[in-house]
Amino acid sequence: MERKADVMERFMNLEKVQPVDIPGFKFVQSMGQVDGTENIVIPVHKSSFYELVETFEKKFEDFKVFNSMDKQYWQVEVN
Amino acid sequence: MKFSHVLGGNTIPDNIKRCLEEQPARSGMYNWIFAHKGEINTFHDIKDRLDDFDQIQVNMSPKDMVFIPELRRRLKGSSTKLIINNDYVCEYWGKWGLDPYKYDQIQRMGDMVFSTEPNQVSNMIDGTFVIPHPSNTKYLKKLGSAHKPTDSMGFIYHWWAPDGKHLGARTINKFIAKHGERYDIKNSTIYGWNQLGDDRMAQHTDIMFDKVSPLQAFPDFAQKIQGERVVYDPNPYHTYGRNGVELACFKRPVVGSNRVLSYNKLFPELTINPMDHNDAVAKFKIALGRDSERICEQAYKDVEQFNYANSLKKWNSATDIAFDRGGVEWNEKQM
Repeated sequence: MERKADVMERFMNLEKVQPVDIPGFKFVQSMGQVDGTENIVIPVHKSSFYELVETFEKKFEDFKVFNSMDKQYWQVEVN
Repeated sequence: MKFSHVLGGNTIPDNIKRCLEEQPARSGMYNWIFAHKGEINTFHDIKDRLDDFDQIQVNMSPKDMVFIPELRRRLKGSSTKLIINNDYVCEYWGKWGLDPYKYDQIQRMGDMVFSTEPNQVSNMIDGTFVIPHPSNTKYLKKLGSAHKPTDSMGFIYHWWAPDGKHLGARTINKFIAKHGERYDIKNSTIYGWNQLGDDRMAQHTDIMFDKVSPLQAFPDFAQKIQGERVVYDPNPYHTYGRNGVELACFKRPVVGSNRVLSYNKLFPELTINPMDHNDAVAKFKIALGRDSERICEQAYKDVEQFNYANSLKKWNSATDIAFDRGGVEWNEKQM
């Protein structure tokens, strides 16, 4: 499995990572942009729960996907 | 295996469509469609092309039960098998005003008949199988929550059976008053509560609970309830209990009724007689104590007995047995 820090680094800066080389994630925003956490955040309308799980399980073993409180974003919390 | 669930005459109700589109899917009967990679069709959509399928399933709901005799008639001489299940708690069957002989005759029209827990099945014709509905545990286990467990207890209200459910509310209320400080519990939330026009029950709810979380889409419910330190479900009815499966996937401890199969299977140290409120208080203490993590970790492992692969094994074993012994011809002779 890829190290969390390596993948996180690629999410940190959209200029560096567009298009993000995880299939289906061209609109991933930088970490912490929405709620101050270190979660990866994705606008809800850009992807579905199943897509996110299937994509991230290729990279991580231990992670969770959930909505931000305002339901505008998916958050991917990698442990 | 080509599979279809049959539901509705001309249309699939909007609430069922919404349910089928949820991500992640709630546990329960409709997961057979996903597990079999099958379809859902209305009676009129499918009635003239039943041979396109290897198996069709009909739930004995009052609305869909009426299709079963006609499907059986149309399947005469067909290799397509008719699967019949009863998805309602057995305590409710009497409320339909169904003639007992008709109830049995409907079941005898199936090539394989099942329900989800032993008490239900004991009320059905001989040879009925116990097969709990499947759950997509893989995805449920990946659903996290922005609601982190804090100082709240959750209570599951079953909207489909509203009578008598407020007994549990008093138990939570008393527990917080007597022991809340010791366990750092200050709040309670009732889930699935809609007023349904009963003002007396609404008054009780407002008094007993700090927060009311009305019926909502499953993904919203599933994220919100993960913010509870412990969940309480003194369900007085016999059912397999999808809440137990889901809470196991979320690693949330639940003090649950011993009439519910999933609580007995997954949280055996936390099950209670739903009318024994002293026992419930004792189990709250366990659920909030040092054994909580161990109990939830075990449930998280054990919940795989309800996953799609293991559920399909049960289904296939049941259909093998049922079809080998003669399917509908065998069931027609059962009491």
